[in-house]
Amino acid sequence: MPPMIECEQVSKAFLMRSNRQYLLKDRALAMVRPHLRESRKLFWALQDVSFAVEPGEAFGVIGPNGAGKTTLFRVISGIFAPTNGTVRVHGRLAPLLALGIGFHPELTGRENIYLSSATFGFTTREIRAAEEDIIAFSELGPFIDVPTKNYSSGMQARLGFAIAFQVRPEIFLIDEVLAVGDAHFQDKCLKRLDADRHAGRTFLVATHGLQFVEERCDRAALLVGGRIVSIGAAKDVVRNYRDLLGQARAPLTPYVDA
Amino acid sequence: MDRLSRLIAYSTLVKYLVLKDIKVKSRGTYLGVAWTLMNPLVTIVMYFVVFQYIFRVAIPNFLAFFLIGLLMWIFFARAISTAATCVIDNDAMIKKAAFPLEVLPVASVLYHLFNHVVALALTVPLMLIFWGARLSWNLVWVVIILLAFVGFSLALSLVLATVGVFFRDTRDILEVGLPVLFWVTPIFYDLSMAPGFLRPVLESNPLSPFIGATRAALLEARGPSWTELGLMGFWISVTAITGMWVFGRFALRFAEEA
Repeated sequence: MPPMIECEQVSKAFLMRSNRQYLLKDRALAMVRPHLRESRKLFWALQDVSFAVEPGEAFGVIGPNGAGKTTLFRVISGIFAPTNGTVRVHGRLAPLLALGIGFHPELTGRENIYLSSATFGFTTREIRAAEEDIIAFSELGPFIDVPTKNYSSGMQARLGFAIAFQVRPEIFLIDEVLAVGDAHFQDKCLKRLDADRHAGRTFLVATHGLQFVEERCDRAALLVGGRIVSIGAAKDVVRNYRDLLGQARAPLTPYVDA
Repeated sequence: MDRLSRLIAYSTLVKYLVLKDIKVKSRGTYLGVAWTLMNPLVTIVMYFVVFQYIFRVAIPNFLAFFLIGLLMWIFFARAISTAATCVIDNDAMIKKAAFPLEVLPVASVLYHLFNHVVALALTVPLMLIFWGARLSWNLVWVVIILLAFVGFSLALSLVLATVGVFFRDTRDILEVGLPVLFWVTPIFYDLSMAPGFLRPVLESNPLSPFIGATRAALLEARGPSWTELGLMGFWISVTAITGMWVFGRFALRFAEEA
């Protein structure tokens, strides 16, 4: 079987612009007044990232803030185009980059279930079949028909999570959305995650929860400044990261190209 | 073609986005959807009084005549101004979910189509009974031309949605440009009434054949002329090719730029 996700020397550069020219008017002005022109710097958020995730594997991506984890996940999901390199995905993939995607505050919880699930490509029939499970998992009970603007952030997150768990793709892409709700709800989420793992689903998880990576991931990669500095068995990579954090005198900042 | 099949796979998302707009607009108001009709209704009465009783235009069945033009104009103008901001208005969603971005302009055009169809359902029966429209098989043309007009507006929306991401003043430019376009569109007059030197300008307006052919079908019980058919076909092809190419070319950069 081929790997579920293959990244080959993936790089992603962003243009960092000062005097960002959003307006046509600004562009016209800049032609006459050179000091108003955009100045651009290239910022490499990812550089030569190569790895493969095997079927049924749980793969962790760890690293400090700004290391490029979210960018990497957006490139794999197809939200960003890579500047260089190739990404191949074999199988249906669902990115969980945030909870409650597409929620509109004026709509009720139930209406938002339909809207948010549709962003994952579900049909009305599929959503209707999952609706009761989602409501049960969210534990929102009678509040499901109340507009979500009246929810607490914990309630919104629970509903978002319940929807996310109903998405049952072959490949799960989870970006730091695990720390949600009270201890009881977190426990329930982890149990659900474990059940999905045993069912043979593939996971790619970015998180700051090192314990989670040690306990639940088979392999991991450590991303620092947009480059993979360590890849291998989850325990080893986490140990490398802890060492790095211990001796981090030099700031772990990303690389800027003038 | 690949983009088209992806769009079809996400038609459920289009449906719930349109429903969201309809619900959010009407919720918490006494008159609900009626408010979206209030503005055109007041405009219609004012224009009618001024043109019929003060200018005393000599066009037979003037009320139905200008109503057809004005309703089509309102649909078109609202559709393309919303399209100009439909991507940036949903910036949070497009950075977190992987769906074909054509969904956004399609949903915004369909929402305005819904309002337009409601307006037509209220006024066409009145036109047929009281205001001089003629019942005949040529009414089928009204539906065909409406579909063509929606296609034209959608194609133009794809262009404006793309331009709107890179130039934030697109909507301001439209606000200046649309009133000009309003008066060079045959809403209160017919192309045949214009003096020779203005003809080329008015005839090159893409809205002219759509409005002219709809009027002919409703008021004169005849199908579109070959010139009108040719012009509509020409404008649809030009805008559709441009729109699909431009949107497809730049869609992968929307998440970064929005």
